[in-house]
Amino acid sequence: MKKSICIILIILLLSSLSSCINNNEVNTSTTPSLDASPSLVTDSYASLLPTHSTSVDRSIKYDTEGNLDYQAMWPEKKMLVWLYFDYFGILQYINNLDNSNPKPFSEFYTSIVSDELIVAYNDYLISLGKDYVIRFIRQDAIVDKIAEDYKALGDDNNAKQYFKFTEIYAYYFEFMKDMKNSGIQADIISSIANIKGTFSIKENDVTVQVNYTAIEESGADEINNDLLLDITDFLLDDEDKKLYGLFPDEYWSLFDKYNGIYGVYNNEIASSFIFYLRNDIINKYEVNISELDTIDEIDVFFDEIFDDYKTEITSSDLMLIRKFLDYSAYNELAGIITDKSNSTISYKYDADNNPAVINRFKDADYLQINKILAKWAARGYFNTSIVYNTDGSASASIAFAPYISYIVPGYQDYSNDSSDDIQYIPVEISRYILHDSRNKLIGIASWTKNGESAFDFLSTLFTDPHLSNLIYYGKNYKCENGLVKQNGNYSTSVLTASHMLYPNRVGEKRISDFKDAMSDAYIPPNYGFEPDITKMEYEFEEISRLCKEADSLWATHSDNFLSELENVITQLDALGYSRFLQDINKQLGQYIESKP
Amino acid sequence: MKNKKLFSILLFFILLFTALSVFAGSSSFSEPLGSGYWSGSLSVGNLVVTAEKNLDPIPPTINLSVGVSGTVWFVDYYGNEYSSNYSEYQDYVDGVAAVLILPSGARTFTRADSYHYGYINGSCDNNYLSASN
Repeated sequence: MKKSICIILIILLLSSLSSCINNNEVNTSTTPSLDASPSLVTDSYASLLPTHSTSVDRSIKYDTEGNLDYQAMWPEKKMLVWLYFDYFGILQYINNLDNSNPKPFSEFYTSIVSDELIVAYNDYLISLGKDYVIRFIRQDAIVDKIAEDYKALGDDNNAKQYFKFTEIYAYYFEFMKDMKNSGIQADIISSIANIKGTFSIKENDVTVQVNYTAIEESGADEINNDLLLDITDFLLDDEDKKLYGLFPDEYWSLFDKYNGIYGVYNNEIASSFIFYLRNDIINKYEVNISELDTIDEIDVFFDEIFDDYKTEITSSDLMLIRKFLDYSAYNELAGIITDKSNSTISYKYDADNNPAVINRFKDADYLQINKILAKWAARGYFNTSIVYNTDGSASASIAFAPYISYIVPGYQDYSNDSSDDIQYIPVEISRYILHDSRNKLIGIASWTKNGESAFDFLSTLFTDPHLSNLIYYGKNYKCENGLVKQNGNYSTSVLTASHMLYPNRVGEKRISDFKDAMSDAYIPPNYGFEPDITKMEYEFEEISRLCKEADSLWATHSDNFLSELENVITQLDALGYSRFLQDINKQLGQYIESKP
Repeated sequence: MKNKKLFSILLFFILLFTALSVFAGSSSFSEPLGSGYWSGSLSVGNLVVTAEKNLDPIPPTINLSVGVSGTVWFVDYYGNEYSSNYSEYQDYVDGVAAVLILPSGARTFTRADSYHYGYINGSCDNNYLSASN
């Protein structure tokens, strides 16, 4: 038994090694017989690439303490200090403290920004004619207090879990406050991203899962404690409005509740829904993929494919469409936006193009898209991959069969994660939807003495792709055909503008399209609106459960979706759901009236 | 026998996902432990994270325990970050694996860490790995 397993393992290892080496060879998949033929990518982006000078290696000068000597490297240039928090790097160091022989921070930690990268970064700024360079704050300035307090927790493993997942972030905030109170220079501030999740603790030898939210709204504490500068005057200065003009007015309205603009939310900005179809299918059916830009057209095309591949699809050897989306996300394709933090409320533009709260379960577009999805589920297009949670709602799809297509919000090509070396060709099936998530705020320190230079840098960071790509991919990155064919370092994303990053996978969003995407962006009807349900007396838990159940019906009850939906609607009505939506609609009306 | 079968299935998936995660970040170790060796690995791909732990005891084998636990981080399409923990532990087997699939609505895994525990005939050890996508 063991011998045979070993032989199989060796064969599998060799074959996977071979596939690593020969990524472009024809796939050897046995099911089904859909020949993959990689498509050519034309280099229509060359003229749109940045015209930065090639980085030149030059010797790095260090001071007597062994630190990068900014004065010697860039004499007479102003230095701007950028504060950021490398959570993952610090977390690894904290974990190292639990070892019997922990290493000191200086030996353990490697900065996400090397000295070589800092030199390349600053030399590039100088080449742009800037009179300043950037000094990234060293993390050892933050970590000492964290390590001291962590060690003080001794063997209390539960307390250590809370510390690592929830309390650790506060040290960065306190660090900034100390810097301000002590008058220590800081100019640029990266706030920590919104983060939540689960961790486990042990109570009486029983493992307990703890849900946590560490950062609810990135930058909120910094704004409320006057750590960030209001940059409104800089943004609206006629001499340099390129940063202000980069985003729609609504984007800046995310700061309305703060009575000032305190930086730039780096929240991936916007995304459109993309339908990806296997290239070999496109060739076989001679499809003009640009015509498959609505869910109804996709449905008609699927009918044709299903007829040809019915056997493979119904026997679970092939998946016509892989599910990557949450159940309610599909409704956005019908222009119905459901509150991310509150699945009970949906919004849509009415016939007069005014934003309105709707009962989506009675909306014709909702019914149409869910009918299509129910049909796809009933025919097995999604394979047998739907997993049900204990509360009855459906959750992530786990599917290992080859798949012909998928839909995701934003460009994301999963070719390299599929079992075949197959290319998927993307087509946008929605306009760009502007995000209103307040996340990853990058702003200017309120106590800076270099406000103008700091704003100039902020403006450059969000409009010049090279700065972000240099930090993310490293100084030797190469962008060819709009792609950087290497992995980036996600930890550095706190120092980048997300929409400026070049993709490293075929089909991802190209930077050259960003301005076009913004000029025609779809503004969700509830953009920036936050419903207040705190003083309402409804059975929210039950309403929320029913709404999620209704959104999952196309998957869970695909054969009798409509009758099951009627049941849920009846239950919701009994809970006063219609009256609740009317109340929220009033709030929405007041919010819109209050906007300048 | 049942455990061996289970282990071979788990190994199959490990290898499958190893092959799928050509561009994934990964880290691993292999060290002596008591009367044998132990090894572990962690791999982070866009869609899948695998953390596994294997023992290679020299017979006679009396007591074996293996465990792997840790945290995965992923992001959604709004740049929001999430972390989630996982844990797999078994006695009397020579390997376990945790295979984590990216949840619906998430964009990609970004990083993961793993604590590995191994026990062979009275000797035990721990090891920690981390990897980024």
